[in-house]
Amino acid sequence: MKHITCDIKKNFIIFVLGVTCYMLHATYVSAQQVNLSLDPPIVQTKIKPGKSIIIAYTALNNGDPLNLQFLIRPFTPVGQLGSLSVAQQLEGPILFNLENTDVVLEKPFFFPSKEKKQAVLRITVPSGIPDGDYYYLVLAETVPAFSVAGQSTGVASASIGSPLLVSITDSGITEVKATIAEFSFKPAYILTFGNNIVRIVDSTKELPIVCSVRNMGRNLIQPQGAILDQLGNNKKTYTIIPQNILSNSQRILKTFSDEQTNNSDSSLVLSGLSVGSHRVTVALSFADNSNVQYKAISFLALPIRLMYITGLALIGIVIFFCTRFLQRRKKK
Amino acid sequence: MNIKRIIIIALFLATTYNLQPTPSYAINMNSNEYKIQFGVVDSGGGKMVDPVDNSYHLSSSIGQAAAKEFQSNGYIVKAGFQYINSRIPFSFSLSNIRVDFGSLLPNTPATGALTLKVSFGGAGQYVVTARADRPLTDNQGLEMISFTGCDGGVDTCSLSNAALWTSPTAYGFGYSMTDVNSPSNVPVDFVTGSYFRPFANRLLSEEASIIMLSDNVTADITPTPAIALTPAPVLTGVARTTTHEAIITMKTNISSIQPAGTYATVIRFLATPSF
Repeated sequence: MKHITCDIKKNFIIFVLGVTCYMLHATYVSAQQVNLSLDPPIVQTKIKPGKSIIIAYTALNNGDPLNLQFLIRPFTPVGQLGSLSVAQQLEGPILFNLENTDVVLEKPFFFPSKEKKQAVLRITVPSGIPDGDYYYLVLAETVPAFSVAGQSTGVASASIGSPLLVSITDSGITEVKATIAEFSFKPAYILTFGNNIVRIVDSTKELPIVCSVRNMGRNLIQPQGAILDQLGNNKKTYTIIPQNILSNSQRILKTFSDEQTNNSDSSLVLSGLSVGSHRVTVALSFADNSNVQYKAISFLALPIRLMYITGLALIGIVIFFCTRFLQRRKKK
Repeated sequence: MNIKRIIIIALFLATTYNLQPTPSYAINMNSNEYKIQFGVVDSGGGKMVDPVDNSYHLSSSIGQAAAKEFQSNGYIVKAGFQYINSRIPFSFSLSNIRVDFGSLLPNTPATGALTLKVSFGGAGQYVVTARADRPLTDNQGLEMISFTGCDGGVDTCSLSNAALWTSPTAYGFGYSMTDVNSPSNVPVDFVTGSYFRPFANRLLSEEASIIMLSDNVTADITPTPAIALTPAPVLTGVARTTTHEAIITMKTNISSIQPAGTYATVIRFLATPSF
């Protein structure tokens, strides 16, 4: 009897040990990576009320398998550098739905690794909507995955968006009402001679030029034109990038330029300026066949730093000779 | 006399040959490096009907007359940026979906980091924002670790202004940004890795904070020729492989009166090309 009890005990201990080992079995865990892309990166459409269109978006999962959902949210432009603010809920008069049979808006679906998913979006503009612009973001958002790991955690959700700019117009004509709000630079010195003001800049330093356009109309515009830097007969032209300026917003224009510095709040950075009187002009057209608006600024580029150094050197030389002259005189 | 005639005839034929008008077409152009989509072909257009149920109409509009196209179809659609012809898709990646802080101990800051990457060759400009669903909250939803105010005093941080957070007695939950690229594409107030901000709180409808931004639309794109008042210029630059990378370090520190528990929240990152 004792022998049997001992066997049971032994078996029980072996069983508990086995289960413990099994439960403690450590497996290799790697970080779950998210890598999403969404194409096209932007869609711009002009549409009549009562019409409906279809646009296909393609999401690609280059990371680990995840749960994804497609969302539509309105946005508004913020600041002058193309930032945007996204609303928390879908609102507005335009109707959206996915034509897919396997995916619906705001409902997560499993998205395996290295797979593509096309979201066929139907955009319906009901009749009777007033002319104007409506701005949305088409979002592909990962669903946060919580785990009961017994430790405090920040769970990340990644979203990738694509702006959808909708201009509703019954006639096909959009409103163009814009102005050059700012065309300026920061001079090193300002000299006033009566009614004349001379702005002086250091030719050895970079000179940022800011050109911003205010769109007061109810439709977006794409300004086209150029900034021209003229010194005597020498001219240098910088073409404006035709970016969207959304309705009732202001944006700093950018130019195609090798001299552009990153993240600058300017349209153009002039460097290696030639010494002399410069006249910088911006010429902009806000739509095809619209009037061209001009603004100009002028400045005198001087090698101020070089002049300072030369001046200091001259003063030094003068002081040196004066001191020597005085010392000689004293000796005499 | 014969030679003269031959020369005149030859000249006439050469002139006629050189002046011969030929139709010209623009069409999608591509190489291994780039693709220019929807070059204007002013020659036609059409409609496709689904042969199965005769229901699906896909209009193909090719031609210069956008106004005519709008009048007949009732819409015009443009996809992609008209001034950047890059085949590199806009993509966004996170190195992990979770930042674990382990078991939190009073007056002992816990940190964790994620790497964010944005490839924006096809967009040229982008913005990445971050916002928390709510402060770090325990499983029951009763206790919270509120967002940090950093060290306080002159070192008080806000949603848009990072400040020093090094004191072990300054509590809360926040983040710091470090850029891998030069020049930096993270906000300039993150002077060093010891500078933190609180997360924007979705519960309070706070605006998501910008944590990465680039307005570098011009890199490697050279227009030729640069002429004033022309449509988007012909692009001759090499398609870009522009990727920006930044590290977000999340930090939390609790006081001795913080109730024990497992705290968690969701941080939502949103990457969008600019409009």
